[in-house]
Amino acid sequence: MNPDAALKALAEPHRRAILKLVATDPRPVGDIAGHLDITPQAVSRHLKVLHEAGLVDERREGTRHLFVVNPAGFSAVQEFLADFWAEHLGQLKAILQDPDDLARE
Amino acid sequence: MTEPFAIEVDLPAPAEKVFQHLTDPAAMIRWMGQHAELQPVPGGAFEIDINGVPVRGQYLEIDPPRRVLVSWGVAGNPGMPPGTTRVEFTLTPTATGTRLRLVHSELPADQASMHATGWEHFLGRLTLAAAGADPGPDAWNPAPGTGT
Repeated sequence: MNPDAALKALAEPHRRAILKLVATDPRPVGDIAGHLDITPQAVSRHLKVLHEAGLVDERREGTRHLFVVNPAGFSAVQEFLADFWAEHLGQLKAILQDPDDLARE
Repeated sequence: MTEPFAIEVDLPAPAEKVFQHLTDPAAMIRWMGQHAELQPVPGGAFEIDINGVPVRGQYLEIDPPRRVLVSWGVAGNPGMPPGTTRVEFTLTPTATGTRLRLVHSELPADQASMHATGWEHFLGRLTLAAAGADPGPDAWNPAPGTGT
């Protein structure tokens, strides 16, 4: 998974909603569209972005194309923790570097 | 993948100052979260709301100003329930301040849990991004061992 691509992919509410839908059950485009009140064409575009970010997989069952969350896209818990802690420790460093902050306390 | 996550950062402040930012609610939320309930005694509450993610745990061990061990989980997240993981902060004085080593351990092992955990972290970041703040790592130096 590319964290940047994934974040960008997730920075859109319909795509987040799609991921929630396919997190529990594989679903075809039409089913997703029905849940979200957007066109199947729009769903397909969103799925393409999500797929390119490594967040969803496509699978085929008979004649149906189903979309489902790609577990590998979320398997790197270390990546998330790295992201999370790096962000916050960076913030800690930033406030500790602020001389006004040190003077205030 | 259950091995602990570890990261180190050199901070330009004495250990006492860094320790304060791990135990004082007002200091804590200046670098992590928007609301904190902290009772820095063994068994005391360690509760921080971070971008809508309710992190819940307890202080387990405290050795001022050298070490803090807390339990860490997320309310409502079956992948990482409250109190299930451990975060250890170790503070070591340096010539320029304090080296903070953070180890996040006892991480969820199974795929479903990791999925849920990562998802929550993503949502937290997205909440921040949606609010107009930049959640990206570009404001600091994330690489342990290559920083100042």
